[in-house]
Amino acid sequence: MDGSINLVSPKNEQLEKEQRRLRIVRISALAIMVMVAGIAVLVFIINLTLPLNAIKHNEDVTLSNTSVLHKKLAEYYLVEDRVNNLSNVISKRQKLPDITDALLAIIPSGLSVGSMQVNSKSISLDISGSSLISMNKLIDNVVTLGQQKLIKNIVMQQLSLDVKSNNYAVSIQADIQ
Amino acid sequence: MNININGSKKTNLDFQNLVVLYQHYKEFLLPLGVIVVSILVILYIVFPQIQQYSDSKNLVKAEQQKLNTLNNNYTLLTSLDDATITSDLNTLSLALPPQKDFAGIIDAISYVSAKTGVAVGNFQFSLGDLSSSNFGGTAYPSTKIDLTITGSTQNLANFAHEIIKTKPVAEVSSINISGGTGSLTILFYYKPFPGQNVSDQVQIMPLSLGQSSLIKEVSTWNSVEQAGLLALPITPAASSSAVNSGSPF
Repeated sequence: MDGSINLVSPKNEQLEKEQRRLRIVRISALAIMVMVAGIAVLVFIINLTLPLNAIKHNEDVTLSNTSVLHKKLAEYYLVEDRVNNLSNVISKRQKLPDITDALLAIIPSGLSVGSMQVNSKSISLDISGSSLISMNKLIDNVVTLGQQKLIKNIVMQQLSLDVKSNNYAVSIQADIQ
Repeated sequence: MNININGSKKTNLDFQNLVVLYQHYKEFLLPLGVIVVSILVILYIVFPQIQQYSDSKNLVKAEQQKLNTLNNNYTLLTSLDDATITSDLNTLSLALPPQKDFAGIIDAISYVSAKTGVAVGNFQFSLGDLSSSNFGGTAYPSTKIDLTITGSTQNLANFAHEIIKTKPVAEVSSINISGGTGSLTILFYYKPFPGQNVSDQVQIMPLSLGQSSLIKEVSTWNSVEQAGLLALPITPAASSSAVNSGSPF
């Protein structure tokens, strides 16, 4: 028998090729279908496991508990509001009484305040007394007050002597820091 | 239309040929259909589910946060003492009244003048717009009062010092002292309460140390309610201004 004779016809070979292709397509289709179904089920289950409903239920319970305390809550809000606003007012208000106190504290004994004007921008002080030493001490004290950053641009307007009463008078002006 | 099948021969694509093609490839149709349907399922079901999972996760996170806020609020509220809150609110409302508090202002002046030993002379309120809804665009509306007092220089200074530590909260905006007479311009602040749309779901923060110490400090301020009303010492020579004719005392 001639060994070179091809018993498998080209048609059969073609058919086998197609069968193989069909098998591959079927297996692929099955694999994809199983995979897609698996992913879909998995995602669905994961979605189900999220505890959204439990959290909402707890929220409702807590809200109903808190609603009993609503008056307290409202009062607490008002306390917070008052404290914050009061704090703002206190922090922004001018410290004129403190400046007045500081000015009066530096006036040596023996001198008297003729007039004192304090506003948000400047101070004006008229002091009189019979002792020039006390006057000198006053001026030193005012300069010290300037160094303490309470006042600035200190100007001594005048230093005068009333010969009849033997009284010295000094007029000082300064800006508030 | 000509179509080349297997790359070997050209075929005319008419109905007959389509039938032949169908017969030839019909076994491929089901698996191909399954693949197409699977792709559609991925696109229209699986992807949206994944998206929904992501959204739900964010929602759960937000709801969990909300629940935590509610729980914290509840815990904080239950830990607060009713009487303390009410007392703090009263104290703070006296210190920063929700509206123009003329009685409080007069009481404060009366109390401080008695405490510091000065006599109150003329005084004049600048009321401004009496409509409570109009505050001239300022965050902290105030009632301005020009006040004349008599006493020693030190007592006048003490008056200015004490009035800012007295309810209602005040600011001395100018001080003029001359020959035993002082004229002060004082601003008494007030602030309307905020709207009562209190939400249970807003995080309540416990009062800070600074806030608590401010409440303590304010509660030590001079107050007629705490000290009992004192009579206002008015100088015999003092007369009321045109704006405020007649002392209310």
